[in-house]
Amino acid sequence: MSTTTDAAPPGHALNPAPLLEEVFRRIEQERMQGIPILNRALEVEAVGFREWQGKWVGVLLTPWFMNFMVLPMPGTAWPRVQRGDTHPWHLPLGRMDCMAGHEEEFGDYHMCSLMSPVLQFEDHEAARIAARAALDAVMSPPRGDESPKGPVRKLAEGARKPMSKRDFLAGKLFRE
Amino acid sequence: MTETFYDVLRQRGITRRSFLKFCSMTAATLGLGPTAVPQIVHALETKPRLPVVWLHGLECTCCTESFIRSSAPLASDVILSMISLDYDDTIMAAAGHQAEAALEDTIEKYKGNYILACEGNPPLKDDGIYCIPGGKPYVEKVRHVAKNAKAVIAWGSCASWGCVQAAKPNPTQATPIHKVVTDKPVIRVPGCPPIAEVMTGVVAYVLTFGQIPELDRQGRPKMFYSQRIHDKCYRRPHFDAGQFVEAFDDDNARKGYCLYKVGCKGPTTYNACSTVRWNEAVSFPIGSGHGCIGCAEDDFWDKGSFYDRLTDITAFGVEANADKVGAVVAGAVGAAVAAHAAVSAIRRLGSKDTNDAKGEK
Repeated sequence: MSTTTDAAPPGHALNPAPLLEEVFRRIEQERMQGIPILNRALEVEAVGFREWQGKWVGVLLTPWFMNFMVLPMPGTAWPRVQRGDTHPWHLPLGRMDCMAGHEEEFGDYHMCSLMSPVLQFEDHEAARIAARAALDAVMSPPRGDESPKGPVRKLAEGARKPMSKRDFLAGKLFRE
Repeated sequence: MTETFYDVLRQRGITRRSFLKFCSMTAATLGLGPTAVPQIVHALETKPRLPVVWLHGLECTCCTESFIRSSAPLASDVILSMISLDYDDTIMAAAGHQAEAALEDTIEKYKGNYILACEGNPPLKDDGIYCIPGGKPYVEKVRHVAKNAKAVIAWGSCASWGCVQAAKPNPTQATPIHKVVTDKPVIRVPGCPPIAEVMTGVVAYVLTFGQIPELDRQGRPKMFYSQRIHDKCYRRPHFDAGQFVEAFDDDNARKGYCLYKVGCKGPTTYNACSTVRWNEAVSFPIGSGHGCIGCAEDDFWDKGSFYDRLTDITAFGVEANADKVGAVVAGAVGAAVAAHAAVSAIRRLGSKDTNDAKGEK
C-alpha cells in the first residue's frame, strides 16, 4: 500500500454530485443491464455531497450499491493509492479504510462500501433515508453505543488516559 | 501449575522479539489496534495455556491443515504452543485405548475449563453408525466431552453448517454441532477451511480476555464475519462501474474486472478472505482470478454450480437472516428502520481508533 501525496489530481471545483449521477446513470443503462441483483425500486442519487477538509464527501446510492465516497477538490493534497488498495481516512466518526478507484469520466475517487447489494429497501425513499443516516453517522463523532464493547472498550479507555513516558516504559498499560 | 504459552515458546528457542511480533500481528488480526498488544503479551506470558480437546467427526481435516500452516512468523510452533492440545487424534502420539484414556484424563483434570474444538460433524442417522471413533458414535463423544467444556468451537463449515456431507440428500443425516450441543456457547468458525489467522485469532481472543468473542446471530465471531467478501474486495470498484469478466481468459479477465458474471459468490459470503487473505496474506481466490465459491456459507454445495451467476440472493438463507432490515413502510417507523440499517452498515465497517478523530492525514 503506497500512499504518497504528490501532485494533486485535477479535482472537482464544483460539487461533483450531478456528474456522479450522470455517469452512474449511464453505467446503469449501458453496463448493468441483465444483472439480476439490482434493486429496481432504487435510482442513482448522490446523497448529501459536501466539502470536508478540502475534499468532497457524500454517499452514492445506486440500484446495486451504497458507498461512502471521497473525491478530490482542486489544489488539495490527495493520497496516491493504487487502484484496489485502501487509504485510511480519519473522519469525525473515526478511521475508515476507503478503497481507491478511478473512473475515466470523473477521475480518482475513494470509496467505502456501506451496502451491496441493496435489495433490502422497498423504495427509493427508504434507501435515501438510510444513506443520509449513514452519512450523518460518519460525519459526527462516535456515540457511546458505537464504541467498542467489553474488554476492548476497557483497553481503549486505558489508552485515552494521559500517561507519562516513565509509566509507559514501565508497562503501566498492562498493569491496569 | 500449567505452563504458559510464553514458557513453551522460550523452551523451543523462540526469541522474545519474535514473540512480540506475533502479539502485534494477533492484535492487528483481531482488529484491536496497538493498544491491545500489551494485554495480549501479558495474557500469553502469564495465563496457563488453554486446554483444548480437538475432536474429528465427518470431515476432511482441512481445518487442521489450515490451522497448523498459520502464517504466524513462527508458524506452527506458535499455534501449537498457544494451546495445550491435550487430545487431538490426528496429531497426538497416543493411539487406541491409550488415546481414549488421555481424553478421559483431560476431561477430569480440566473440568469446566477446557475448550472443545470440533472439526467435522456427527451423522445422526441409524443411531450414528456412520462415524464411530473409539467404538462409539461420534455424537456421543461430542456430547460427552461438551458436558464439562467451558465453550465449544465449531471449526469449519462441516461443524458450523453441515457442508458437503450434509448436501442433499444428506444420506447420513450429518448435523452441525450447535444442533447437538445446545447448552453451551458454540463459536462457529465457518469456511472450508477457515482462514488460519481467523482460527488463531479466535483462540488468542479467548486466551487473552478469558471470554468468547462477540458473536452474530449465526454464532460467528463478529470481528471476522461481519463483512462480505464483496465489501472489501479489491475488484469492487469494477463491480460498481459495471466492468465484468464475461468469460475466463477474456480481455476483461486480464484487466482484473469483477468476477460476478462468472459465478463469484462474494456478494453473499461473509468471511475475511478479502482483507486477511491466505498463505501469509499472499492472495485469495479472487486475487487469482477465480470467483469466491461461498464456502463459508450455509449449504453452499446445494446452491448450484460454482460458475453459475448469483441470481437470487435471498436463496442464501444466511444472507436473509444476517442482514434483514425488515419491511420499510412509509412514515416514522420506516425511517427509523432505514436509519437503523444504515447505522448497522457503518458498525460493520468496524471503524477503528474512534478516539483518534483528528481529521484527514
